[in-house]
Amino acid sequence: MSNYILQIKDVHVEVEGKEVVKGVTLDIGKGEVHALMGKNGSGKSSLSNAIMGHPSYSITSGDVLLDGVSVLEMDPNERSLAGLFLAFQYPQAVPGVTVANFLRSALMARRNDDKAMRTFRKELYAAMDALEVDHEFGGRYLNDGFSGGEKKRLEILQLSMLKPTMALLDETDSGLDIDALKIVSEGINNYCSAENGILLVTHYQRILDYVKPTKVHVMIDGKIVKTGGPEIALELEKSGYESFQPELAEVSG
Amino acid sequence: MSDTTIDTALLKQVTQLPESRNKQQDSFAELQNNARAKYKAEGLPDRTLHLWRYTDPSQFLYSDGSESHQNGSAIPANAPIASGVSPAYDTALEQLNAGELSAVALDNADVSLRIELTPVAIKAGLVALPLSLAGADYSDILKRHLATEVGADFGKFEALNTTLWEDGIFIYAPDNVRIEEPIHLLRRGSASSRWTFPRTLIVVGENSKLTVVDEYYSANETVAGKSNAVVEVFGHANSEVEYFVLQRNNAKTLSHYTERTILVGDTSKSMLVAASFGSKTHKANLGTIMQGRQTKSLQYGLVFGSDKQSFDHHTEHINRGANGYSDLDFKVVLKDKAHSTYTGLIRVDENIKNCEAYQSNRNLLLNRGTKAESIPELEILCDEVVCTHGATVGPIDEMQVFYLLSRGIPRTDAVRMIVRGHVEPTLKILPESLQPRVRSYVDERLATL
Ligand SMILES: Nc1ncnc2c1ncn2[C@@H]1O[C@H](COP(=O)(O)OP(=O)(O)O)[C@@H](O)[C@H]1O
Ligand SMILES: [Mg+2]
Repeated sequence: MSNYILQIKDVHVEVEGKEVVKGVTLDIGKGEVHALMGKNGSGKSSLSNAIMGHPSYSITSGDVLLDGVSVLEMDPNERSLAGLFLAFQYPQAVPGVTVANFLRSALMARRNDDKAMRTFRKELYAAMDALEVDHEFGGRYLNDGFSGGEKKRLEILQLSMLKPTMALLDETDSGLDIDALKIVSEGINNYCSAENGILLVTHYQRILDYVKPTKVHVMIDGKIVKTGGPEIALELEKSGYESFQPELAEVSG
Repeated sequence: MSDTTIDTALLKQVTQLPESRNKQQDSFAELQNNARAKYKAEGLPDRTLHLWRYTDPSQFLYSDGSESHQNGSAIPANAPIASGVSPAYDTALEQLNAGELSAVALDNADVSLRIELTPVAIKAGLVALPLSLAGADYSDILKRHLATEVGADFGKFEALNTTLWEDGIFIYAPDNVRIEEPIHLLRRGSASSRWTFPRTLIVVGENSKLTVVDEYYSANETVAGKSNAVVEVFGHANSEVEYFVLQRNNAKTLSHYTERTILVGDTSKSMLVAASFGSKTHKANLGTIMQGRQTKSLQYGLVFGSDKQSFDHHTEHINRGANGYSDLDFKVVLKDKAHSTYTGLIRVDENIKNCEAYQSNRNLLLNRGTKAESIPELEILCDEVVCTHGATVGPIDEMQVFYLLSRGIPRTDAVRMIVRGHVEPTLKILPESLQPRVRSYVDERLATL
């Protein structure tokens, strides 16, 4: 058993024939919250999607280990069952499939047992109440016509019900007003435990006031240019990503 | 009405034909002779037109060589249908007895036509009769509606049905009769491979409301049935009619089906839902003519084809009255080597102002080897119209699949969920008495992906 829940080893990602992640190495230990920060287009989502097994993003070299086991040969559903979760930046709408039916199927894939599903409604409503989501949501079609904020809440609702060991949260804070941000952050904090890992992808430091990171990584142009403690996020806030640019030059030079 | 027996114990009206089901009333003789002449005189439909480009019309020519069953000698009358012979009928009777349906008709092609109404429906004023018996009390209604839209002049195969229909079903809600529970018509095909000609006339009076389910199915799984059906629906002022047609013939059947709803009166409303699962070749032509002012028409289609089935659906929305609103949502799912063609006409006549007309046709292809065509036909002769149409043909969205996969749902289940989701908006509007069964037909096809 590895002490790390997730190990990203010199990962390169290609999308549409273009390399957008250019060698990222990152280890997340159990109980740790890592923040991955970077401007739009720096490759954060490409990295997250590739780790989850998105068909458009291919890992051309490097490895990703979940609990010491490489996930690269696994289908996305196998990765999910192995404990990986990605809260998407842009969650996909699936018209005609209700939220409740979707969550039931996702849990069925884990429990594979009708008996264990008897408590489903109760679990769903409890998770909804915690995130201040109307029960009526269960009957709505998955992300179909949802507002940005509703989509993000639904992602965290899934997180709280599926209980993965490693959660990648891609810009879960964007599009949330301050009240929603607090609720969603509480949901993330409730999920945190000594056994779980979180990679919090964001380009604002705002959410880090509520979800305290163990480590902060700064990504520029497909590479991590700096890693450190929470103070880095504050530095970013003050002087912007530009101040990290020279270090990139240093690394690559 | 000497032919109607009232079962006093149940207080339920049961109507059966006394002799042969095919004995037509003299009052139809002129209509039918005229239609026969038209059928014989008219050439095959023009295959350069969209309507017939995709399906060979010659297969629908009347080929039995004799019209003997027309004369009523060959078919025994009133043979009762035992329970278990037709599970759909058994279910319908249970629903009737539970008050979930207001009437049930078993149009059993080779045997009998049997119609039962609940006491509640009778009391409310619902009329449901074999066409051959309707003339006695409703000759005026028949004259004003029957074959006035889909008759001798409509087309060659509609003229054929008008010539040879084997009795038929007359559903009538006089003015101010509102019936909430559906009327379920079961059209069981012949056990021999002869042509059958089901015929239906639905008339909804002013301020009245009816819901009709019209279900077509084969007598067994092996007969190569041949069916040519015609349905006419009339909605008078301020009426509401919902008509659901379910076609689940066996995969050897050849079926031709023509339906027209005519919204005669102002502010009348109709909903038409066509669900097609069966037949080897199914050619369907459905349409709503919005004659009154401020009418509203909703049309839904659901086609699920598998194996080598071929579907050819045509829909029409014809606006002849001002301020009409129409919407159409036609969903197709194909697997194996199934084919589907959809042509959808929206016509707004000259000077018909302030109409809104929407049309959407979405085709999901579950594997290579399937083929779907979608052809919108717009004939908008008036400027003051809001009209949109859209069509998509393509495989399942891999981004949707990935989203479900990323939550641990296996691929096959994910595909099933997405397909069910694709047709869900249509399934949802089916009457409760029908919905579970239609869902099971979708699931049956999804079981073997
Ligand atoms: N599906 C895609 N198709 C084409 N290019 C993409 C796609 N996804 C991301 N990219 C490109 O990859 C780069 C990184 O984008 P992304 O990973 O979304 O960055 P971030 O999440 O940090 O904003 C950008 O140049 C973006 O245009
Ligand atoms: Mg992103």
